[in-house]
Amino acid sequence: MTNLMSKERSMKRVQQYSFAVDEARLYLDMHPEDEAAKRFYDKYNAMRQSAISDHEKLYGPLLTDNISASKDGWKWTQEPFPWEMGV
Amino acid sequence: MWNYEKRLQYPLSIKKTDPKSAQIIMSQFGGPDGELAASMRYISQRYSMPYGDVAGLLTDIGTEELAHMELVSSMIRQLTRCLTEDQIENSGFHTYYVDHGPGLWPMSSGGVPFTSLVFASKGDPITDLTEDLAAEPAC
Repeated sequence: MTNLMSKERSMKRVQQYSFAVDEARLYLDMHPEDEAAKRFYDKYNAMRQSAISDHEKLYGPLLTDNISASKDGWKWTQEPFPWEMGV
Repeated sequence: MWNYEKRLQYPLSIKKTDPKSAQIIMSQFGGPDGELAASMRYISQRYSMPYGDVAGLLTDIGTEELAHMELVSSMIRQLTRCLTEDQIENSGFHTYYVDHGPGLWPMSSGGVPFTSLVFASKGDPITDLTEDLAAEPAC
């Protein structure tokens, strides 16, 4: 599936799962005992990690944590930056 | 401690420059009820918050507001890149452009520079949360 996805589609996956995680985080901050919310968080957090990994393989690092500098070089400062047109 | 993810929270691609609109949304960036103000308000208030869940929430929302600030800044950038002289002179954006050119500088749409004066952080939980109530719907 990864190879068929455009950069836009791949980024959108990351953004969608990340948004679900963002919302779940804020809810859990005030409702730490909510079991359904905890399961929701775990599910979408895993999907987010997977989407990030898929994206980074093709389009470069999203997080410096995931960089293997000696193996892949330092691509962190490569254009485009998030505020530039498109992705 | 903060990390950066090299992406926008939401996809953005503005094809047509429009400095007049940039001037209008400038307050959402650097104005009294904008994203920078929101972030500084929550991140400042969290230290004296006696309840862990609330301090945690202020931390997480304050962090997310920086991502929102990035979105608004990106919009302004995309609206004001490569402007013609005509666009600059006839849009009302010239007063900003004189001092900042194509750069981003936090201020309100009316030209008031960003300042801590736009938010209250008083060290009392009820006071601080009331400040938050006042700021949020005003955005």
